[in-house]
Amino acid sequence: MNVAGRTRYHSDLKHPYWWGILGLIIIEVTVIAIFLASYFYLWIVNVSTGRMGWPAQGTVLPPVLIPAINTGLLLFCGWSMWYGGILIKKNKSKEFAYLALACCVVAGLVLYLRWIQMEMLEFDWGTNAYASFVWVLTGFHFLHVLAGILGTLVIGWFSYKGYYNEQRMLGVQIDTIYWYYIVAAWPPIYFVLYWTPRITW
Amino acid sequence: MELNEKMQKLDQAWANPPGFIGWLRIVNQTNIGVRYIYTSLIFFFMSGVLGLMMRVQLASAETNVLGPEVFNQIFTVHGTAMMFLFAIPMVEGLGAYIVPLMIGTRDLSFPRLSSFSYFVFLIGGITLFGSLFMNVAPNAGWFDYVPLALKEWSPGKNIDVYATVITFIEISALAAAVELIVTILKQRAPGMTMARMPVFVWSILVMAFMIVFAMPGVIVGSVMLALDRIIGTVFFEASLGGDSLLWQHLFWWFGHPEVYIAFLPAAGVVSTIIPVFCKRPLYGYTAVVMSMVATGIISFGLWVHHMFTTGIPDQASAFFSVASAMIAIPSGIQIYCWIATILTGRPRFNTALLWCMGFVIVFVMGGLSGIMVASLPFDKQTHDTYFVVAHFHYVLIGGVVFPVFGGIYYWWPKFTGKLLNEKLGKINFWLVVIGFNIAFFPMHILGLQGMPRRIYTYIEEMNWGAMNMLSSLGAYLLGVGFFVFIINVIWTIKKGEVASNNPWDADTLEWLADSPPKNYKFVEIPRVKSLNPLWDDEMPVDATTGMRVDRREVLITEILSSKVQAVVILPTNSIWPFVLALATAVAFIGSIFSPWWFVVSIGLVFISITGWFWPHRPWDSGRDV
Amino acid sequence: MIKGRLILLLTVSFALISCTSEQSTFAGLGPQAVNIINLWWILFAISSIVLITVSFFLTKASLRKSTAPAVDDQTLGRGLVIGLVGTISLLLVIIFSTLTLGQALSDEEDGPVEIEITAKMWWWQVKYFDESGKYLFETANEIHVPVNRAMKLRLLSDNVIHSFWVPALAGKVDMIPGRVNHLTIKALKEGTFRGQCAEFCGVQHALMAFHVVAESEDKYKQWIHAHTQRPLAIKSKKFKRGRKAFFSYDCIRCHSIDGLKEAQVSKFSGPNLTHFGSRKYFAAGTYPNTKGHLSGWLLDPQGLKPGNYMPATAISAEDFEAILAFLKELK
Repeated sequence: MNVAGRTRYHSDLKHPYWWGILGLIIIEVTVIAIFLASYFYLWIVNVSTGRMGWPAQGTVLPPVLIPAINTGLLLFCGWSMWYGGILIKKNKSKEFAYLALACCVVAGLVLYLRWIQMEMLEFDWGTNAYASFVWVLTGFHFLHVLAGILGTLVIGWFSYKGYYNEQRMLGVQIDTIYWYYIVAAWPPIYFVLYWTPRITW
Repeated sequence: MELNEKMQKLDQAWANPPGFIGWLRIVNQTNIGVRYIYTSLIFFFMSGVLGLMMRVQLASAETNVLGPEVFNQIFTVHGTAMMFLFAIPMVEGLGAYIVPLMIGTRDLSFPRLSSFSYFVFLIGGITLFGSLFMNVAPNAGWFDYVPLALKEWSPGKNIDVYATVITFIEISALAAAVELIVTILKQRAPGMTMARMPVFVWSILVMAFMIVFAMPGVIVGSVMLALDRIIGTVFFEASLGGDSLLWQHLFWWFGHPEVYIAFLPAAGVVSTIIPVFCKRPLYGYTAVVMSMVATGIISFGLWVHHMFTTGIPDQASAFFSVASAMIAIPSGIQIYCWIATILTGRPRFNTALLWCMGFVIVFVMGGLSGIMVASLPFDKQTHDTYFVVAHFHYVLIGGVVFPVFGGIYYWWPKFTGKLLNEKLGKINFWLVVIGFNIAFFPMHILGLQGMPRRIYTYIEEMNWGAMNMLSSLGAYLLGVGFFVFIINVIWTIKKGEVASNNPWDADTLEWLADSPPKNYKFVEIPRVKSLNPLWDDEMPVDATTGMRVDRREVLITEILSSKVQAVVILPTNSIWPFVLALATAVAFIGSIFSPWWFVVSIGLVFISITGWFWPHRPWDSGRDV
Repeated sequence: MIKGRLILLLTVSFALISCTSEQSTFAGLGPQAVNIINLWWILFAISSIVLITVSFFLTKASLRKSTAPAVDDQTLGRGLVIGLVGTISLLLVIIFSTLTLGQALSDEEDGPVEIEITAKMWWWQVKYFDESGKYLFETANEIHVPVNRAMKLRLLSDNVIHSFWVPALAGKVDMIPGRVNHLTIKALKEGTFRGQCAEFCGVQHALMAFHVVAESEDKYKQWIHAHTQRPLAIKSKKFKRGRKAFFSYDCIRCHSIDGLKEAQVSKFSGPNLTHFGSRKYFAAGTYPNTKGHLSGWLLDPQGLKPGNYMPATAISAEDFEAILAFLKELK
């Protein structure tokens, strides 16, 4: 078997990097799952032993409006990166760069709104365990969005300079997968932390 | 192109850059794998010395060699170093070194990531032992229960060091695990279907998947612990809705699979060595592979057996008790297959095989004491006593250390080109086996006589002195045994017999490469036609040609069928993995002092990652011409 | 050869296990402990069978002459099935005995909680209640129970995790802040049984012990009664000097004496000393309560138990004698 004539440019399941980033996402998803499992564990322990309510008595629940808006904005980011991939396949690298920039601007808005939301919270992260979860998981997601913005800015810049094309686009694909993960990770966190206490409250 | 010319060009393309900075830039797996092995061996010996120090203090009642503050740091660092700086890195290092050779590829999938994860491991290890020399080492045990580990009860920096070191190892281990999975699934030589994968490669694959799903438990736990300590969250504060047992669940979700993460590759090593020294293929390959997979999966359902005495209802604990006993079955199947292989083969008793046989006996003894403590009522007496200490040393030393040393004797000619001395090897083995049993068997008795774990002293009236003295003497003998290993290494460097490519007449692909292998390992990627390629009537031929010799390329094959799928270019030497490791270190070591270092580090990490992925100018066109 | 060594090992361990120590799990003086001893012998027997079998086959495999005919694959296959069946059967025996003998543990009569034990850094606070739940008194590090009566213990901690373990009577139960655990014990014979903390709890975990004293119903009632009374020494003129010294050296900051003064409650508090004189041991069950040991302790608590919360205090010679006399009279 002679492989001299085969392409060395791969941007999909053939490239180890694709699988590598998938591995990273599986790890992060497991981390989130375990965080949420811990949340439910503490809920059950507190309520079943009668130690205290969950969230603790007197906790003002965080508002749901801003996170809902953010969820919508994040969906835009996910869409924009998906569409960006299509543009790159058509070799429209400058258009992709603008779309990446748009994604970053919208994500920046997400961060701004989230900052406001966190300032509005009526509890500290040390007030009780529920509060710790809200702050920490919201905060981690914030950091991931920030990392996504930084990475996408770099990818966008390279695209603007013409580095990516329909054959060489692995960086775009990986960045896109990462955005899918950020977008998909938020609704479960949002639902569990912000909505489930309201259902039984 | 002529073969010699090809080899020369490959040598150049895969060359290691010279000098100290060059050493930092190496990304080739041959070097990095060996670094992992040597470094974890060093941590093993350092941690063993800590064990000997403990045995001095405990040899008789009410001694004053080590006070409680120092002793508590020593037993914590001993456990933490053995589990995190020896067990995991050693098996991952063996995997990183041997797996690419065994599957016929030229490097791991992400060479720079290998380098990064090695440096992170090294920094973590230096941090842990450094803290010991500065008297601020972790001192609440290797599993660091809260609330003792919270700021209120451990106000010093000791536990912050613990959280940091754990985080380093988490990152290092996870990166290596993902890399091993991708390499094994996508870079096997053409013809090496999953059913023709050597057992050792299977064991690394199972281990890596286990790491991916188990480590997040301790990640969540250590993040919660660090946040509770540094910024005042209250995940573990009972009065505010937290719970101490949450830590235990999170830790042991990881902690139990962790011991099988260490054990399965060791079992893989045994499955590699026994057939070679018995001159026959492993009996029951399918059964052995399925047993390893089953062990890996079942191990996730056992963790509560570390918590039987916490007040969990007995009905719930009963499930974990039964499951903990059941996991003996797949291990038993493997033992049967090994003995069957020896029974139907023609054994030659080299040191490597001796280690494997010692492993069988010692590990079985450890497994049996494990069945005992799996039994819920019995565990209520023996939990947190020296009985458990005996149990886990039998399964870990017998089940991990013995096979690792067997593997070291077996693969030493491949790593270094020389054979370790057989006479010294046998002395090494026997001193260790005898010393080990004298050191640890009495501990079963001490536990049954009521001696709890983690005590720096005991009063005369307890009558534990005689057994403790016996145990300490055994420990010193064990230490001498391992010292003989070091002598063997030094002797071999000076006078060791030079090894051919395949001094043991073994069957797996790594013995096709040179001893030590060239960085590119194989001039042409062999085609594999059976489970024991080098024992086939013809050497692996019909190789894959056409890979470039002027840059680093590897062959990508399909996951199940391993048909040729693609060729991928790998990066060459780079300083960025080292830089990123330093940037990460700023975050975690800095956070021992102030959370703001974490923020600083985000900037440094961003710069490092950007540097890492910055494409080299001039860019090629980015298209096939 | 391996077999020979193994048999020696097993015989020796058999013998050695029978040597008991202060805290042996083989004393078997409570129903749970007895069940566990029986369970142990079953486990030991099965383990010995397995170990001897494996060693036998391993030895046989190693001693085989290279030219002897190999065992064929069909035999090996049948052997695997036999081995598997054997292993599973033994495991089932173990599981069955675990569940049945474990079952017996929860068959104890369940009464009201009469003894509450709170683990402290690094001693045991003990509170007694009567059958109706009314609080009676507080003591430390020594628990008295009537022989042959099941006593329900409530186990708490207000600091870190500890574990209550008296091997002669039963298995251990952890004491976890924020949680309430229970253990029912029943002494089958009279005697003094030593227990020790079995969960690492910090610098002085090693010397955190306690004693359970099982006595006849009469003696037990006497002990309870004595503890609900105030010792004469707290008012008697004869011990005035000792009492004053107890205050002037600030012992009272951490050690309460009922009827005299209550100590400041803090995580550094020490045991209640109201009936100290009648205890058999002190310093969390570590030293016998004699003048010699007590003197050594008062002179240098940090030397004996480094890191514990009792500071070194320089006491004048006369005050020293007076304090010792005073403490001895706190019966």
